[in-house]
Amino acid sequence: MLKLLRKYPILSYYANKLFAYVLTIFGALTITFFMFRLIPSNPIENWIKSLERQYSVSIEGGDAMINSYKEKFGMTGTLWQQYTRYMYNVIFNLDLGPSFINFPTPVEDLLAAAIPWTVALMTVSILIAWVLGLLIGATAAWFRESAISDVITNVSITLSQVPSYLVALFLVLFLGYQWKLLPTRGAFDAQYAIGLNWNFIRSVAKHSMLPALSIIIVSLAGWILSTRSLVISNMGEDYLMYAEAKGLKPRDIMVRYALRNAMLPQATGLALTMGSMMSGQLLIEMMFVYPGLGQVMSRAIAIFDYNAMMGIIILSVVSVMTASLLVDLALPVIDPRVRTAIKA
Amino acid sequence: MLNFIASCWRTSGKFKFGVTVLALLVLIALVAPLIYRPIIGTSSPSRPGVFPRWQPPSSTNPLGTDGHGRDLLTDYLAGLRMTLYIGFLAGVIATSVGVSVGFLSGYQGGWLDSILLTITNMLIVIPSYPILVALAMVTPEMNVTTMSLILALFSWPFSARTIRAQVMTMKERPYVELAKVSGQRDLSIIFTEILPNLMPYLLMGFAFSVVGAMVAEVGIEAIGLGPSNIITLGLMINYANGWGVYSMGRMEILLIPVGVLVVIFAAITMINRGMEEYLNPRLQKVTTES
Repeated sequence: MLKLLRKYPILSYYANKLFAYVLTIFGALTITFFMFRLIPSNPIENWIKSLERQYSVSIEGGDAMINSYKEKFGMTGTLWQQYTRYMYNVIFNLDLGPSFINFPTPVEDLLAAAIPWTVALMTVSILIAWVLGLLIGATAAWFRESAISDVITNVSITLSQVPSYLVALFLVLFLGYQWKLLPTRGAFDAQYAIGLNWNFIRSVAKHSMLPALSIIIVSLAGWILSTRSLVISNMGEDYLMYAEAKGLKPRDIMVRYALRNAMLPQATGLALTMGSMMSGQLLIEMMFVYPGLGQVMSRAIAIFDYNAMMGIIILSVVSVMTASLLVDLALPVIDPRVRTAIKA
Repeated sequence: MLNFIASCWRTSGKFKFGVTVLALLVLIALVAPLIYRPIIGTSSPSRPGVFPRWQPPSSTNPLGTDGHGRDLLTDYLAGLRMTLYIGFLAGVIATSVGVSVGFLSGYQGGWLDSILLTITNMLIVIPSYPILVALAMVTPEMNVTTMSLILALFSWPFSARTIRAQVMTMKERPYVELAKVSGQRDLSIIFTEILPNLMPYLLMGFAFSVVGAMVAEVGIEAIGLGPSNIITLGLMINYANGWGVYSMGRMEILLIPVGVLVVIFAAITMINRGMEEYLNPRLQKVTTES
């Protein structure tokens, strides 16, 4: 085995990446598990209290009842036993346990209902920001001596680190309240039947406008800046001068040479951003009462629902790590320079 | 380090602009008590009910009062002061931990490096916001220090990773080798040879941690989970939303804290960008000729 790895360095590169993938996910989940359990809190009491409020009754719970719930939620035994049981269930049964916020719905089902909303909102926003960012960034690089390019660059720098929830506050105030153009809460109007009908789709599109814009504006600024510097640093290369000397049209040089060479890092960046979609904008979803993972998160945190919180973190860690693993595995295939570096 | 700052100031308009704006805001934050003390006397800026609620601007309250009977000018000034302070403190804690771990990892190498790097990578992939919110919720008696500690908990791994990478390239440099051969002790090599050359990266890492900490800080406070006994700009956003300032026709109560925060973030980003452009001239527009 070791001999084989030594003979083919590419195999040992893949083995290394896979090992790091498994180890990092496992470690991140372990850290999170203990962090949550060590935070002093009493989810079962919170949960019973929230039920009492919800149905305005008083629940006379003896120790027997609390203990039976503790068992259901995997909270009996020592911390170590709880940990091993939880990890065993997650890894071998893909069982994240029951949720408190929607007892007894399993956490998997709760997440499965929220994921499509988050994925749809984030995928559309990320893609729009990426495509626009490439186009505007490349244009700004091409006309880098012009005043317009300076304005674009400086506005992008200004916006690039502003958290999107502040942008969202502005948008809600002006587009939502002042001019009443767009709805600011929820994901669709309740009067339409959920399904593939025109009214519902239009309602969903309209409701996603503000959260999507808030996300797009900030990430667009980032893509503009990175594309611009990538394209500019390509412009000094000899092959561009050669293309110019050949008499190619500036537009062709820009699209086929300068922009094309910026594509690999930007595609990698896109893949990594896609990976972080599950946790990237929880706060935006909370603000807009959007029925995605952010909503599950805010309800779970309110009564300290361990299982649901862990579920969201597992989802987010696995998707971030998987995206980065895919990039690592694909790079040697796509980019010959990486192959050479591995062999050396 | 002063040399580096001076060069950035000379070469980058962005750096100049960012530093000027930030210095102005810090100055306002520092002299804030001189302005609000005459208005509120000796009571704490966060104490409710000192004045009647929703007073229009007057000679006692230059901007009027808020929905909790506090002076609005005091709210903004004290909020700016505390927001900057918490961000700064969290940035200092995160950078110190990050630099220590980064140095240990990068300088020692070997097993220790693998272990520290693995832990750092694990912490980086955990989404910090849910955990920060959960921690903020259960922390009794939240104050400025606990808030900063909580914020720093998840932002040190980023600077640790950057510093580690820099230390690894620097310990191979000839002047470090020379110092080693001439029998200098490791600690003295770190402090006299490596640390001074790392200063630019340290400053950049610090600026990033401050921004990161403030983004998380405002995010937690805006949903009402920060310390409620300390006025910050994030808390003002939370109050403004709670009061429904839009329907009252008092939009500025929300827009002022949001606007000031945007200016702070923009200024720090400009500073960082200026430093980056100085260190890596490829980012500037006139680099292609060389």
